[in-house]
Amino acid sequence: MEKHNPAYAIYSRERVGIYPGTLHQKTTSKFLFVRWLCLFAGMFLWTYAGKLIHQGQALNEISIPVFSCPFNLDQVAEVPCYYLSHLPALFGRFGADFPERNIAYGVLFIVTTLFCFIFLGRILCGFLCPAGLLQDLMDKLRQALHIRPIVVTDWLNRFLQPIKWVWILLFLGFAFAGGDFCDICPLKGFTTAQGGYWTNLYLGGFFAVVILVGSFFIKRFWCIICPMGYLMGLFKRFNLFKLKKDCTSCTECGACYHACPMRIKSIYTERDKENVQTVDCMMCGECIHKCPEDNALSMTFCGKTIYKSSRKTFMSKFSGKKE
Amino acid sequence: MADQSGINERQRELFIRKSTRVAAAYLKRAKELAELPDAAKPFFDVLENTYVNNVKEITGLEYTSPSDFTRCGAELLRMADIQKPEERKSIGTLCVMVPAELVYAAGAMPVRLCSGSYTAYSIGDDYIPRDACPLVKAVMGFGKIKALPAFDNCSLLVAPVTCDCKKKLAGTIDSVKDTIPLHIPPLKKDDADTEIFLKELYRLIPLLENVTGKQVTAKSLAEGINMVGNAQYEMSEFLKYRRHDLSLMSGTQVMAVMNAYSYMPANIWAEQMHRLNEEMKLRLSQGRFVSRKNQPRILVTGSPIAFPNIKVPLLIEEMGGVLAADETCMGERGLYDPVSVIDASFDGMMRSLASRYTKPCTCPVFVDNSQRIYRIKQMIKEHKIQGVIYHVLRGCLVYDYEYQLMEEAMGKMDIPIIRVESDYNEEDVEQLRIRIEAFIELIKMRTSA
Ligand code: SF4
Ligand code: SF4
Ligand code: SF4
Ligand code: SF4
Repeated sequence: MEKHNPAYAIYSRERVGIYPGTLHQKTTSKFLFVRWLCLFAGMFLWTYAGKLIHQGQALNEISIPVFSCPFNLDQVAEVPCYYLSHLPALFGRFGADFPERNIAYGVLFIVTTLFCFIFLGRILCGFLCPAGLLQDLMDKLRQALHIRPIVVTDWLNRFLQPIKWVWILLFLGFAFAGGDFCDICPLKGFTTAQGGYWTNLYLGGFFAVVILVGSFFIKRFWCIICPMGYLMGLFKRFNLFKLKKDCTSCTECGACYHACPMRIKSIYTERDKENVQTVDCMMCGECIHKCPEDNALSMTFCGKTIYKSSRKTFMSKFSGKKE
Repeated sequence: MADQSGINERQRELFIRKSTRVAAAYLKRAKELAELPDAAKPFFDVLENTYVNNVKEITGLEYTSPSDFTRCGAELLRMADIQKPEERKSIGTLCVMVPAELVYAAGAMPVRLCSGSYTAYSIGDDYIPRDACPLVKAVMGFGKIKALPAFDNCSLLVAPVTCDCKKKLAGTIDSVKDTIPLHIPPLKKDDADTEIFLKELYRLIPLLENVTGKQVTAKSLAEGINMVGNAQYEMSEFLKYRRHDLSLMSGTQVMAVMNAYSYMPANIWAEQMHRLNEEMKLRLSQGRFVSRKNQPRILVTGSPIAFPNIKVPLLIEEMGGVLAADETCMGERGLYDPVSVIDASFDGMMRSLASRYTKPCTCPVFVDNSQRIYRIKQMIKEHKIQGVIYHVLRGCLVYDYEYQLMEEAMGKMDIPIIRVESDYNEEDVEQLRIRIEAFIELIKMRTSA
């Protein structure tokens, strides 16, 4: 291509692909380290734990809302996606479906699900969900290859939001219409395959490929449209974890918005409110990590700050000291 | 070229004599304000080499053309361990919104050409309408008279289309030197706007490459980001010392140090800044302050204050105020906001640049600029400011526009503020002195009452 052509610059071969990692952009963050640990722990819990510490499924009266398919029979602790997407079955569960599951079982199941919904909310997305981990790994892979991502600009986000609503509708309503959400569920294949179980994916297999490729180019692509995540976000007001912003410290640099996998814009434009947590926020802490202003963003647990942005930490990567 | 502009030999000599005299006088006054830290001296040398020494060397039409390295002077080069300065192209920039990282990545050195020269202003006055801003006239003046090596060495100018004066400057200065206008979107909250600026930056790349003959690669861009990032790191360390209740260094001198960044390679500036930080640390431990406890702490904001036009900060400090902070583009603003790289791909870095150079920029050319008020509130808190001096260059409409909003906001915070208007000459000094003195007295009275 002609060198004078402005478009040349974007596609120039020299600029893409692998290059030595010279960019000083790594800052260590205990918070993010813990997040990765938890994500792997979650994956272990819902994929392999049953096989290793117990013969088959265990503790499935305790339900923790994330996306991990119970068709993998090694789950420890239950994931409510099956019953939420088959609400009629949930009401039937004290009946004849599973004779060994009694009333106490059902009550415990509902109570734990609600407890997680209300008090923990989407922090489970950021910290435990195996589907989230899968997408994060795809993103890491892309970053390692230095392939440019597809940036979800606000018009693309506006396009994705209706898709989310469709998924929510399908998730909650498909069973009432006589369908089976599991036949179209994009996540049926992953944890089951990891655990060595074979299931029939139907249309879900197609969606699985879409979100796998999607999450390579778009960070947490599925989470942007995930129905389970949305339901978990609904109770954000009661969450014990909260995302706070000190609006006087913010320079509106937009770094948090760019870093946010959920493309939450209000976090950067907000100028009055202290609480900037939205339904979409999964408490992943990426925004705090990339914010260069002292204390501008912080996460609290029961009112106590557990992680906050710091200029010192941010700038330290530029300090010029040899690593 | 010289003949075209109708400027003859004698005029140029007269010009140089006058302009070097003014620059030297201001440098002297700034040095005398308070004990100049040893580590700050090289920065003053750079300004002197740019505005006084190099210009003096002009013999007739010929003058030795100093590269960006020689401007730094022998001592800095020795400390930076540069034996034989490499030749590299200079790219003139006319605003802080031109990403220095990109220019370094293309293997060139960015030089900020916004100038405060009164003499150049009087030359530019002949080419630019009366009511236009003096800064633009000074740049045009230097373009015409060809007596500022820092300007003449530039192979190319990059002129962001910001305010009306800069817009027309971008169009007219093209007759003197090749100029690339850089489109700045007037809005910035929408992603589409950042996208426009991103495309502009991509457009800039081949144009820069054509000049330097070097490739902008992912690696060189990463190095550019690291280099400027390092300068910003030293600067943010310095700001910690500047926030101290009692000043460790005069504010006018700080502004001169920041101004010197315009004419120095970022890595050499950063290294020297590191030494300055160490001296600040020493001063702090020895308790060597340059201000007293009851001196009013003042923040200056508004139109650019570019060397040698530093009369406002000089007057503030000569009248007994402490210039505790500045929110101007040739001062803190240019270096304050770091690049936050979200994605290490080439496109990711370009996006980070595009958003760093527009989103946090508090320049009033943006339609909605309420964030400048927030930024000033933040600075008032951090630097414990007691009064704000709002500087407006005659003809600078965008800053003048925002004065009212600022006044309102300051009123709510009970922080006194005055608007001072100035031009590029020394005729208004007396009037400025009276107003600034009265303002400082007012703050003193408020604090003692
Ligand atoms: S297929 Fe999907 S919805 Fe059904 S149980 Fe598995 S993960 Fe849950
Ligand atoms: S939003 Fe993402 S992390 Fe949360 S439940 Fe859905 S897939 Fe898991
Ligand atoms: S707002 Fe912050 S914590 Fe919430 S999803 Fe976005 S980056 Fe993560
Ligand atoms: S990253 Fe921090 S300073 Fe920048 S817009 Fe977000 S909250 Fe504000």
